Formats: sequence, structure tokens, C-alpha cells
Amino acid sequence: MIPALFLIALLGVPLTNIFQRSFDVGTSFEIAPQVSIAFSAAGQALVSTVLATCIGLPIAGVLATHSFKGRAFTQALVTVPFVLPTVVIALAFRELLGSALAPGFLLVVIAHTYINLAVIVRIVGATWQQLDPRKVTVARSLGASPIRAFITVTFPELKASISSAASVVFVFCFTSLGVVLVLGNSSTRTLESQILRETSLLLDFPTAAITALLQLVLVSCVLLLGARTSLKRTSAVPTLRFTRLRPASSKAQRSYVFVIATIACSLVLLPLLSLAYASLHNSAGWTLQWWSSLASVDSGTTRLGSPLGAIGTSLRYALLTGVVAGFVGVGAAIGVLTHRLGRAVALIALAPLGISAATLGLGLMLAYGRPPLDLRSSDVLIPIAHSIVAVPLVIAVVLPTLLATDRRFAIAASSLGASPTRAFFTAYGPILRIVMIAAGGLAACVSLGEFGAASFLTRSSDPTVPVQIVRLLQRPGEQSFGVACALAMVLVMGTIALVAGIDALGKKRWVR
Amino acid sequence: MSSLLSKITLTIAISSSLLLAACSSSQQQSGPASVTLLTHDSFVVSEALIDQLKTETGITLKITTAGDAGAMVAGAILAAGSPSADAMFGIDNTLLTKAVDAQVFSSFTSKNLDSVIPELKKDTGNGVVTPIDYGDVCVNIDDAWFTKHKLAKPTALDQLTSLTYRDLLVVQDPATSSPGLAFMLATIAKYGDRWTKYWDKLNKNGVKVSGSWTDAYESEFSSNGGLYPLVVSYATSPPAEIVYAENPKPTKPSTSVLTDGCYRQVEFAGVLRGSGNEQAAQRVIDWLLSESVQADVPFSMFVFPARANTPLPEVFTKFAAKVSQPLQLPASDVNANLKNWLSKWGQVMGR
Amino acid sequence: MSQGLELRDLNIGYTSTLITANLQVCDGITVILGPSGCGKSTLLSTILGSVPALGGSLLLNDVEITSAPIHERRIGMVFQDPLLFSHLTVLQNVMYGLRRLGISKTLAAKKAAELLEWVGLLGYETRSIQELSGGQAQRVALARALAPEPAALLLDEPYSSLDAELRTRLAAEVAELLRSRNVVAVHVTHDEAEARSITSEIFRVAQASLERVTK
Repeated sequence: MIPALFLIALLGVPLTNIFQRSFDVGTSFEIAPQVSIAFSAAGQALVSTVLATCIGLPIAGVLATHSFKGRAFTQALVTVPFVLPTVVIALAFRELLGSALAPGFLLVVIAHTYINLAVIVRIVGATWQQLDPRKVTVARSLGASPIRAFITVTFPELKASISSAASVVFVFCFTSLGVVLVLGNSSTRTLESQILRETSLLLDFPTAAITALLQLVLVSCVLLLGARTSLKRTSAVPTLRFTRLRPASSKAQRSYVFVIATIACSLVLLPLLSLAYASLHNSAGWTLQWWSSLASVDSGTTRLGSPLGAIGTSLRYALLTGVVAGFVGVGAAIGVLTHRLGRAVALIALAPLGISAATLGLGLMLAYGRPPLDLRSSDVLIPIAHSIVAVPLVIAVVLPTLLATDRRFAIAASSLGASPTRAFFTAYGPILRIVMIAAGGLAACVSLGEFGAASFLTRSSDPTVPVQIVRLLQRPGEQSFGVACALAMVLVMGTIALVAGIDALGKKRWVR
Repeated sequence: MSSLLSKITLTIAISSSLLLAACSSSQQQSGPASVTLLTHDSFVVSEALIDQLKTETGITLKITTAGDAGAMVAGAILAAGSPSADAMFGIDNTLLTKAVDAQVFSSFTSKNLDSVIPELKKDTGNGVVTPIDYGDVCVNIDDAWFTKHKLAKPTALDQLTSLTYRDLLVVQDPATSSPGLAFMLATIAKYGDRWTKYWDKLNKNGVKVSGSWTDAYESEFSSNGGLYPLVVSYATSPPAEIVYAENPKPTKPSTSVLTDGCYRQVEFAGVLRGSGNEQAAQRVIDWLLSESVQADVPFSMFVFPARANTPLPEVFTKFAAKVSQPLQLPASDVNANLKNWLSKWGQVMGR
Repeated sequence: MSQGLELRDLNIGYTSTLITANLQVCDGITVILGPSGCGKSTLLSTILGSVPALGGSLLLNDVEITSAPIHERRIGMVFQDPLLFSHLTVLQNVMYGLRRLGISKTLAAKKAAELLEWVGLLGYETRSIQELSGGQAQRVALARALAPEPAALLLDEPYSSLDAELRTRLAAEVAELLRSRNVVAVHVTHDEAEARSITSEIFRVAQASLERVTK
């Protein structure tokens, strides 16, 4: 309950401000262009979601059900695209596919799939990992081939988390900004880019407010749909068991695992490799000069802080976000399970997902930009903004897993005399720990890559690495481009390390 | 049950946030000897000059950035009268009118205003801002490409619609790119009511529209491996290419500039109304127009100093194009018609 | 012999051999006794096919099935937990194996209903599995495993999650049921008393092999 109130307080004020401001709109306002943009954005988001789900599911499955050499690396690698700033991803894709594909629908969809693979793999994977593999064995013993067993036994148990993950991916693609600006054309506009245009270019706040509200309403509908499927009690309740991941047993299984893992890593690495290539090349051939000038480039001017300093800033925000969002999100998810109004709580808490970066930025700017609550100058606004964005994601990850835990544990525990709290923690305790770490990790990743809302809010004199990369890219010269690529590679490697580290934390598993 | 844990967590979270807020707000509220300058992501100045400011006036300069110029101005408008900074730098002629109307600035122009080049002296938004630098957005030309293909380089904006230059020009979407917007405004300034016809012809002549300067310049421009030898960029891009080239640096640029159809962008600075630190903020604006800072401007931000007779670096004097008749629209015109113009542009270009 | 399971020097284990099993199960129930961790569950998994054997051979009705995939072996399994498919009703659970054999829905439903009655759960067809008690769920699991008429049935400590009284009763009932249907079964447990109440064919895991236990 209380975490939900926390969010309402933080969100309600900016939203009310947006709502109020929208009434100031003049008589010349037309809704038609916004609606047509909404339609085409929805189409793009749908295709991106389907593609991401189709590619993400096998990867999630392989990571969730088998141990194999390089599993930790693959898991961390798949999350990296999600964390990288969209400008870096767009740059990498332009390098890789620029000559083959013109900006437009296809390129945008590919980039979106690339970025959101992590969402599918993480959310569905978290539940998949908790499934009892013996059920598949039983199905097999009853005559089901591996594919049949998946369709009839595993998939129904994953429906809730797939629905949850897919709706999140849809929302991200629908409200996409960076990718659409760089890799898209007129057919791929989103309402988000409209809001940006109205706020920063036309300085027309009432219209911006209306567009923001329109987007909010549409996105909330999608999230409600996803949540409904996820929260339905009558849908499959998988039996959970904590198991040590076993390596693939048969030759066929081993080949399958190998192929999928290799494909996954290649897909993720390709654009990154093109970035690495650009950072190590100049017109003459291979070179290390971009890397060696990382420390010295633009020294003596205010343009770039030290890369280390920027990484430190980003990490600080990320850790703060991870902790806050982890606790609040899990708390809200628990609220769903334990309170009568639980469902309402969950839906309210999921709302921020629909509040895109630009909307959030606009709202916070409108609301908190003036006294008495002048938080603009403090560092705390960015982690707050990041947390608001991250908490729904945390809930989306945590909820299906918690729902899946056999509630009979709790009942059994209390029948043996444990108090309700004790019974709760007996049933959910071990899962909670794993899930909180995974969720907090994802929240931290969101913070690291979050670049949009921050630009509306940042009053920071500590530029983060993404900001530095953007600055470099906005000026001509080989050096600017080369060093930007080198800096992007620093971000990539740092991200892999961070994600792998967080994963290692949550690794402990019990054997029953 | 779990609410206890939540309560504790929440209390900690909220109280530490408020504590942090209290601490840092009091820090950022500028004391008598410090000034907070609000600016955009592209602002750069040599640290030595900031130190010099401190030595000479005792003022510590704090710089806070707020995204691009548009985001910065939007925030300032919403906070008019109770700003979080003392002065602002980086607002340009496109955004000026709305900010002035919203009374973002207090009446002040720098005492150094007289030393500014004559064309800019009157640009003060009715006495609230001071011009600090200017740049010209022009079509850049890949000389090497034209030599190789034995084609004459274009010398006038009109020529871009002719078959000779078919499929050779890349521009940026004016709604998402500042130089793109400037180029559109240039065509409006030059062609008046016929500007949409010009764009229609450009469109039929195969002009490519890119979403950002980075994309157009770094990827599409033939000088950087793309297919288009004509790109909308800045008059200072050719010398910038030399400065930021790898070693050994070339002695002359491989690109040049089409001086017809350039649009002038001017950047201003102003004191924010209601900050309570006006005196010190005014000193900072004077400092921005001082000889040393103005001399630093070319290499830092690749724009031209507003101050007359400022010595320019050699790459600038040799290779930066001299634009004799830059185009410029009055700020109030832009303010009144921008939405309409963007919409028309979108219709003509199919975007 | 031409009926039943035969294990010839079957090496059981994941990376190293835990047990080298030699066993012939011709009819009725054979119990394998042993403490936790000695490999008896792995033995069952190897017979079932979810864990590959490290060596030796496995025959079912004189046909070598050592490397056959699980779904082709016609061996059923009941675990310690019922592991019922939670999105299906009781009847649909029991029908599962029949449907995989290609049997039509109506015929499968009929046969499944018969089996449900056989395990004493007539009238529970349309219940969801969440409504069942532990013992009831385990009986449904048994019915489900027997529906496709497997050549052999494996049971891995099937009663250990039930309370004592239910355990002895169910063990006796199931033993009787299996005998009446002539099902060849291998039952693994750590409870000697339970073993003795079911059958006289008892083996123990000792020194990495199976040795017969005599009274």
C-alpha cells in the first residue's frame, strides 16, 4: 500500500499539472494529426514486440533451463543493449547497416528488437527459471515430443510473464524517442517526439500537455491489458522449485543450447563490434589513438569531464535507483498478493510505465520547478525520476514470479503455528531475495541507460557518459567521432561488468 | 506484515531525499561570490578563463546544463520569476521571443555591448539579452568529390534544384535539428511566400532528409563515407575538420561552404529575473563579452565572437567561410509562424 | 526373459558412475531402497530417459532402449510431487497421455474417466487441480501416468510428502491396483517398512551396485 502512495505523491502532482495545463490549449488545436501518429506508432510497436518476443523466448529458455559454459556472459551480454543510451545504439546500427538499410520502419524495428530483447529474456526468464523441470519430464514420459511438451506444459505456465513482458516492450517501443529520431523517418514518428517538439521547439506547453495525456491514456490501456492476463488467478500457477541448473543432457539438447546461445551472442555483439571497429580505425587503418586520447581530449576546457568521473556519476544514480526501485517495486508486488485492494495497487503502480520520459520530464518541470518544493538543484531528482520509471519494470518482473509461488507453503506454514508474517516469509523469503536482486539490477540498468527524462531535468554539472558521447558526436572531425566510439565502448564494457556482477549476486540457488 | 518493512524503507527513503534536497538546495542557492550559469549541452569554455574570472572578480562560476537549447529555454519559461540559476547563456533568435514574452530575463545589457559588431548591436530583445556569439548555417561542399566527378561546385541556392545536382544534397528535419531549422528559415527569408515551391523542387530533385546533424554529417556526407557531397552544416565545419583530424593534420580543409543561402544564428546571454543575485550575474555576462572569453569562443564552440576585432585563430581566418549577406528573420516573425511553417514543410516533404 | 525391464551393467550417474545396475524386473513391483543421495533417483531418471546412461544397456520387453528419447520409451513416472498440469482440469490431466497417442477426445475422455474411477476419484473430472488434497492429487498423477498404458511405471518416493496414515493406506492401495492391472513397476523409497508392506522384491543400493534384500 505504502509504496503505492509514495508513487502517487510523486506522480500525482506532475500529472495534475499536465492535466491543468492542457486546458489552456487554444481553439486552433486539432487532434487528428496526433491520432494518426498514434496509429503508426502502435503499428511499429506491435511489430517490434512480436519480433522481440519470438527471438527472446528461445534465448530466455536456454538461459533459464540449462547451465553451460559462458552462460553468465551470455546473460549479461543480452542485457547490455537495454542499458546503452539509444544514441549509441543508433550510431552502432548506422555503422553496421547504414549502407544496406535506409532509415525507416525496418531499421527502427530491428533496433527496437535489439534493445528490448533484454526485457523479454529477463522477465520471462525469471519465471522460467523457477519452473519445475520435472513437469516437462512427466509430459515427455506421457509421450510428448520436446516441442509438444513446451507448447502444452511450459508455455501455459509462462503466459503471464510473457504477457507482462510483451506489454512492457510494446510501451517502450510506442514511446520510443532516440531510435525513432535517428533511425526513423516520417512513417515512424511517435507521440513522444511530438511532445518533445512542442515543448522544446514550439514552446507550446498546453499542446504538449494534451499530447502527453493522449499517450498516457493509450499506454495505460495496453498495460491494463497486460496486467489483467498476468493477474488472472485462474491462469496457470506453476509449481516452483529451486534447482541447480543442470547442463544439457542429450546431444540434441546440447546442440540446441549451443546454437541458440551463439546466435544470441552474435546478434548482440554485431553492432557493438562495429562500434569497436570504428573506435580502433582511422582513415589509415588500425589505430589506438582514439583510446589514448580518451583521457586528454578537450582537457582544459569545460567540455568533457573525466570519463571516470562520469562513470562514477552514472553508477551513483544507478545504485540509488536500484535500491529504491527494488524495495518499492517489490513492496508493491507484495501488496498485490496480500491486500484485498492489491490489484488496484498494482495497476496504479504500473501506471508510470505509461508515463514516458518526455511526459515525466514535462510534468516534473511543471510541478517541481518552483518553490516551495524546489528540488531542481539537488541531485536527488534524477534518481527519483529514474525510480519512477524503474518501479513498474520491477513490478512487472517480480509479480509473475511471486504469483507462481505455491501459496500452500504459506498456508502450511501458518497451520504449523507461524504468525502470518512468518508464514509469508517462509513461503516467499528465498524467492524474494533472488527476485529483489534481479529486479534491483534491472532498475539500475534502466537508470544507467536513461537519458531522456534526465535532459529535461538535469541541472547537473556532472555530465554522465552518454551526455559526453552526444557532445562529441555533435561536432565534426575524425577525432570527435573516433573518441565518441571509444567512449561508447567504455560504456559497453562497464555495463557488461556491472550486469554480470549483479547477476553473480543473485546466483545462489537451493536444491530442495 | 510486509507493511512494516515498507514503512521503514519508505521513511528512510523520503527523509534522506528531503535531507539531501535541503542540503544541496542551500548549496546551489548562489552565495554572494558565486554565480550559477544555466546553459545547454554544447557550451564550452576554457577552464583557465573561469579561474581568471575568479581571480579578477572573486566570482566562482557554476555551470549547470539542461539538455539542448530548447529544453533549457522551456524550463526557464516555466520557472520565470523564480529561477534555479542566475544567468542564462545559449538562447538563440528562434527561441528568444517566447522567453522575452514570458519575462524570463531582467532588464540588462552588458556594458561591453558597444564593442559588439555593428550588425548585432541592436539585437537585445528590447534590452534584456546580450549577443555573445554567432554562427552561420550553410550548405557544406565535399570538394574532393566534385573534383573526382568533374562537376562544378554549386554557387547559389537556386542551383540546388537543378538536375546537375540531383540526389546530391542531404538536409535535416527542421523539427528535430537546429541547423535543419535554420536552413528552412533561410529559404523562407530568401524566397518569401514561394519558399514551399522551392522545397517542392528540392524534393523532386532527390533531396535526402535526415533526422539529425550527426546522422547527416557523420554518416551521409560523402566526406565521411556517405553518398551525399552536399550537406547542411556550419560555416565553421571546414576548419573544425582540420582541428579535429587525426595527426598529422591536413594543411587545408577538404570541404568548403556555399555562401549563398546561409542563415545566421545568434546566441545570447541574459540575467534571469528573480534570482536575487543580479549584480554578480551581470558581471558574468560582461565577462562573456570580454576580450579573453571572446577570443576563446572560436576554438571552444566553433562559432564567431560577437565582439568586434577579436583575433581569430589561423584556421578560421584562412578557412572559415566569410558570409557577406547572411539571411536572418526577425525573432517575432519566427515566433508567430513557426508552427505553421513546420506544418507546411511537413506537408510538402511528406513527413 | 521377454517381458519387463532389464538393466545390464547400466552405469548410473551424471559425470561419474554412482551405481552399476544389474536388475531384472519381470512382474509386479520391485522396490529399490537406499538413503538420500545414493543415486536411486538418478537410477529412475536414467531408466526414464531424462538422464543419459554412462554405459551399459537397458532393455524393455527385449527391445534396447538405452538411447531412445523419453517420449518413445513408453515408461510412465510418478514423482514425489503430483506435478499436475495446473491449467488443465483433473480429467484433462489424465487424458494428456492418451491425446499424445492420437486418441480422439471423446474416447480419451471416456478412458480417463474410467481410470479416475479406478483410483477412487469418480466425480472429480471437472475440478481444477488446486481444489485437490495431497493424496487426491497423487492419485490423479497415478491415473495420468497409467492412462497411456505404459510398459513400465516408475515411482520416486511417491508418498513421502503425505502424512503417515495416508501414506500407508495409499501405498497398499496403489500396490493392489498395480497388481490387478499387471503393471511392471519400479518403486524407489528410503522407508523400509513401506517397502516391505508393498512387495518382497526389494533391492538395496550398496557398494555402487544393487543387491537383493532378503527377510
